[in-house]
Amino acid sequence: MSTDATTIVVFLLIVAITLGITVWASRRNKDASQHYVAGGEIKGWQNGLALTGDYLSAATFLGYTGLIAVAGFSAFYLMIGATVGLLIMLLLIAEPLRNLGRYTIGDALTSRFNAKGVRAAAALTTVAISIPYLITQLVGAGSLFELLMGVDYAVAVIVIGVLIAIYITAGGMVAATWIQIVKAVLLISAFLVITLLVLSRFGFNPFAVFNEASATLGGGALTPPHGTLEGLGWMSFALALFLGVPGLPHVLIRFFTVPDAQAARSSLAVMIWISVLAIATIPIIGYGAALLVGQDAIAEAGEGGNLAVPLLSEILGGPVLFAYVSAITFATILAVMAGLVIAASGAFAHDLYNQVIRNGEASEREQLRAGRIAAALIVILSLLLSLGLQNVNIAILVAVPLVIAASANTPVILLLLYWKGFTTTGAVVGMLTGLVASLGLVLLGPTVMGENAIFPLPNPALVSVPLGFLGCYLGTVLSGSRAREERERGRQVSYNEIHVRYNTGISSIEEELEGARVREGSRT
Amino acid sequence: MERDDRSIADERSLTERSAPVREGVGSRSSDWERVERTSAFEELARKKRAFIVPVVILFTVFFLGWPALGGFTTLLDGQAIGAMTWAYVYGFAQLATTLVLLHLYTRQAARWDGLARRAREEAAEGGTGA
Repeated sequence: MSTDATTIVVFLLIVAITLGITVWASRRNKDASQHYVAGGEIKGWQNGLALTGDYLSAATFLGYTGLIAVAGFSAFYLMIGATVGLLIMLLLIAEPLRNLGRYTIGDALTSRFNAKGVRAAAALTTVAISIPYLITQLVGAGSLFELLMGVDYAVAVIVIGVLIAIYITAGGMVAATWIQIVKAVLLISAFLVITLLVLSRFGFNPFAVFNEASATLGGGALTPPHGTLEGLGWMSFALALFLGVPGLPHVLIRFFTVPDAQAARSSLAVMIWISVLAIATIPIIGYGAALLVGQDAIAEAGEGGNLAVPLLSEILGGPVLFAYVSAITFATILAVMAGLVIAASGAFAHDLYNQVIRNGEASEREQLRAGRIAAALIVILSLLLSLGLQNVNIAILVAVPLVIAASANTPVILLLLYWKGFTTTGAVVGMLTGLVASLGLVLLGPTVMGENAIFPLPNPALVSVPLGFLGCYLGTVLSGSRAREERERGRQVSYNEIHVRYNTGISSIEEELEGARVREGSRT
Repeated sequence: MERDDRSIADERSLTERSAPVREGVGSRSSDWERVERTSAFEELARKKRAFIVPVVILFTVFFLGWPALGGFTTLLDGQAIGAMTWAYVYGFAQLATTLVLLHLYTRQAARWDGLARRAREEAAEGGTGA
């Protein structure tokens, strides 16, 4: 595959559009609230598309389709896990969290717990999730463009890093949101076009794709893998997606960009509809690639079948569709990274610098500057690590973010909202336990240690998620200071306050009661 | 009691957004309790629980049962529609239930919004709703 003129033109077009958005956004990006959450002024449907953009990452578009193509059924567990996990987000987390939080997960947790340790722990898990995620995106992008276009790995990584740094330091969350929206629309169009083109080869009968796959690839391509270890392994993987997606910081902070709980709800409705439809097409695209490109050709072209979709698009639509798909992959990586950088910069600049070090006393100007500097530093750090890791197996970095989100973030967020007796110690112990268990078990597992693995499962969620909950529980009951005592000492606010706030969206009770009285008076 | 207070509600959400979000302790707990004890809020909390708890248990069990059945048994290996296996049908069924639950939830939640509004009014009027 040589670099084609069409490909270059489409790539430059993507760069031009995203930079145009950044210039427009930079005029609005004047304070910390704009930088982190676009001033809370994003509309529900816009946030819905941006969330879809976060959800349908390169991993979904290239990774899952490729896995279906080369390994058959099992990737379907992961996709469905991530989709059903959105119900956890919808029913239990999104609206309450939007009512409690401001810029970061740390803000939401400290709306109840008046303790720097809780905020620092939340910042730590956010960084532990976002930085490996960023590195995998960069390393993936570098290798992909080396393969697709013959661009040097280092050049590709540096160009992408510089672009992200420009988007975020200049345009903040406003730019990140609109880049994500544009990318989501492009990606949806690609799903649609490729699915229709695949189906056109099978008489527009989706079942014919499955029949043909079974006949050509063998029935094993359509059945789940069996065995105790296999079964536990895939359950664990599925659980990591099911509880991990609702705990991802760069997804959760998107709910702080909308004005109220109703908008958070409608944005999730948009996201769930689009995601369900997109996920439903992935087996068709995956088996389509296996049948039309061939499993061997896909496996040869790139590890894990990552290049199945680009190869398929070349067969279906020639160099034009190939260029289009490559450019969309590029846009996808840019957009997802932009969201990750915002989340990580919030953890560094807002949680650690402004709240923990400066006691929340930094001026608006200082906060915005800190946010921008943090974003630039995060990009530089990820860039350097990615350049160093070119020839290292980064499978561990791919495995950890979702496990940490499922084991360290989701338990604490759920208990924050629904357990009256939860304490600050419980929250800190829970987050640290989830984090250490996730990292430790991945390190002891087959991903890192290969055949000598001490822990048998590649994805440890089945063990680390219960450990995360257990950490929250034991930290609470063994700390010696119960929730009631913490309330008396001012370490946490009353549960009545949290309960009312997350259910109604009231943020200041005095103003609420006072303001309502004034309105009552003026009405009569 | 179900007045259309949309415009007033919008006004409120605007004033709240511009108000700084307080960190840590500050407000008196009794004021929050006043809202919590209104009959509308109690109804809101009860209805939410009655809907959300069983639904979450249901789809969690439905979901985790899938890799369990798929990995530990051969029940899902049989072909259901053409060559499409039961494992796939189970997976696609979860996509369908996700959309159904989304629809049911948004319908319920729209009613709960009315209760939350009423709770705020009742609290402002100073009544406990009893």
